[in-house]
Amino acid sequence: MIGNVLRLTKKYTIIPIIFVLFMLFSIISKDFFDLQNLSNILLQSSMSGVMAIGMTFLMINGYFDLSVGTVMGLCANLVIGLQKFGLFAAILISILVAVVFGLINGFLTAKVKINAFIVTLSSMIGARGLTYVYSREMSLVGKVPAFNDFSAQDVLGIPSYVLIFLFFLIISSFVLKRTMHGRNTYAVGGNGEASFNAGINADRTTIINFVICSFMAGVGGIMQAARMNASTPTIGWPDTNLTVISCVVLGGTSLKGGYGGMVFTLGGTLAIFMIKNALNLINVQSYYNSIVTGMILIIIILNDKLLHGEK
Amino acid sequence: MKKSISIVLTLVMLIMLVTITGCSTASTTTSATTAGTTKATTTAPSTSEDKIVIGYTAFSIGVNGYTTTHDKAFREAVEKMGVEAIILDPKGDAAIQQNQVEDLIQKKVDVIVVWPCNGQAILPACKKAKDAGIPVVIANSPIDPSGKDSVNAYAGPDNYAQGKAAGEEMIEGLNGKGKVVELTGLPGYVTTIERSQGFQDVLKSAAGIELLESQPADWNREKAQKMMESLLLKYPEINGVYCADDDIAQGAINALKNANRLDGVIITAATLFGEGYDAIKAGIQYGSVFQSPAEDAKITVETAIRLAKGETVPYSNVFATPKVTKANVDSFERPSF
Repeated sequence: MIGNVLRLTKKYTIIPIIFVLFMLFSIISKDFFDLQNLSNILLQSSMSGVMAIGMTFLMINGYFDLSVGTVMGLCANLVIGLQKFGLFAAILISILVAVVFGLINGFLTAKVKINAFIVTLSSMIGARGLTYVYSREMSLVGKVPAFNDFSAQDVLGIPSYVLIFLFFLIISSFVLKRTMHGRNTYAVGGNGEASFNAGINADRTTIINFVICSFMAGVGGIMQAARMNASTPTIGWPDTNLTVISCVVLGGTSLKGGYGGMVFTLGGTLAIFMIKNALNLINVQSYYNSIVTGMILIIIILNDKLLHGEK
Repeated sequence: MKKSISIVLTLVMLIMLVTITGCSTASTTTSATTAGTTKATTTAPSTSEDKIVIGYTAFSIGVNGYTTTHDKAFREAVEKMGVEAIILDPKGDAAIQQNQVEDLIQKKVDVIVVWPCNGQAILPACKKAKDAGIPVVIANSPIDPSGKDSVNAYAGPDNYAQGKAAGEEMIEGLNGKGKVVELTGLPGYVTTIERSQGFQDVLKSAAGIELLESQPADWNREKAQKMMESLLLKYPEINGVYCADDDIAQGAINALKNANRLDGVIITAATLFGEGYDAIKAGIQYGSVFQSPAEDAKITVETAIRLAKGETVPYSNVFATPKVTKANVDSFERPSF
């Protein structure tokens, strides 16, 4: 039993880290350890969490996507603005737009062999521009009350968004571990040449993962829009993409590809949003808030490296 | 070896966090004692248990001079009135602000103050707070009128009055006769609409003044300059330009200067900025309206405290915004923004 726990914590170093942070924050702030607050943390992490799931696929594949923040913002604006054509159409079109972004990113990176940093930086700026053009720099307001109601729904005391997050976690874990595509993703990220020799279509795998990443960004945007029942041109800007990437990296998924998983990402996301929530409750002055968040992240990553060694 | 470094690092993190909590509690205690001593001379000092806690999510602290001064004045007002405040900074992000309001509800503060990053997106969170029995004050930027039921009060500048004051300056500067154009802020924003309404309403009282056209300049100097350039092409005679703020006025002045038509044109604006202050002093701009971030912060804190105490507070709580022209410009401090 204890051996099992040790083995698990040795693989998932993020678990003891979460445990330590959890204990620490519970001691420091009397409002932290409270069922309602824990539910708040889960709710607040669900949107970035969903996006981090998509990013995990891509990072195991050996790439990352800077455009998730603004693609999410574009989808949030579209899903609100297009509600005059019906909610279903609005959601469908937003998702389609996200998928197109994924296809473009994937094609340019995998087939044209342009560096992923340049490609996704360009689509990040492009998506932002489209958002401004579409919204005419105005905030848009939702017309379908059910859209907003859904976001505030509880099922057996669990917020609906947390269930959505869990749903995607389970599906994506399955895809990653049990399907051909998942195994190909690990292989391509681990050693591109070897996987090519083994007959894996690396380009196709990469494009699919870019699409998954953008698709999840679209889902995140729709969730965000529903929660506010409105959208602003600045949603997702400037650093949602970095929050999402840090959720994945903090969890322990390798930046170089080939190693990682959904449990890591879940852990990383929870850790980040626990820190954000606790610092708000503790009333740290806002400038220091950013400094402390940065330092905690560095210490956690350093710790991970020291205890775990190079991956 | 590695393990010991790791332990040291974790200890550093722990110490850092504990120090910070220590600091934030310490600072509130000092403020409490100073408030206690000043208060002791007039009334009995309140005990710390029933001290009012204001939860505040700002717009974006430090993004410009106005927010910086506002933040400083807010902290001073909190200290002076012997209450406590949790001040959070969403950095202009409406989604983060929503999370912060939820955290403040969780913290069970006595009143929540929101300087909305977005007048629409914040409404669900405000409603949540009100449903939880915590009063909500909207600070500085009015929310959409449809959301009035979700909040308790607004505290900040009276944009209608500011537009009106700039309009009165215009009538005065033109001696009640002339052709004017209007450059407004970003369309759709409540602030833009209210200022424009104030200006246009007061203009109706002067029969000799004709409003040629009203165009949006989006609070943006470049946009204002381009807009003014095309207006100058369209109308051979323009005697007055009203701008929603001094940044827009700067753009209009640039356009007038380039067209060699600045002389004799009366320019007024609804909010005084530093550059507008200089322009008024130099006689380029006729007038503006002084909106003090310190007054803004003060009335916000006062309104919040009254709500926290359970007093009935009117929806709108505004502060005086005096007119500024060359005659009295020296009696004002040059704005830092």
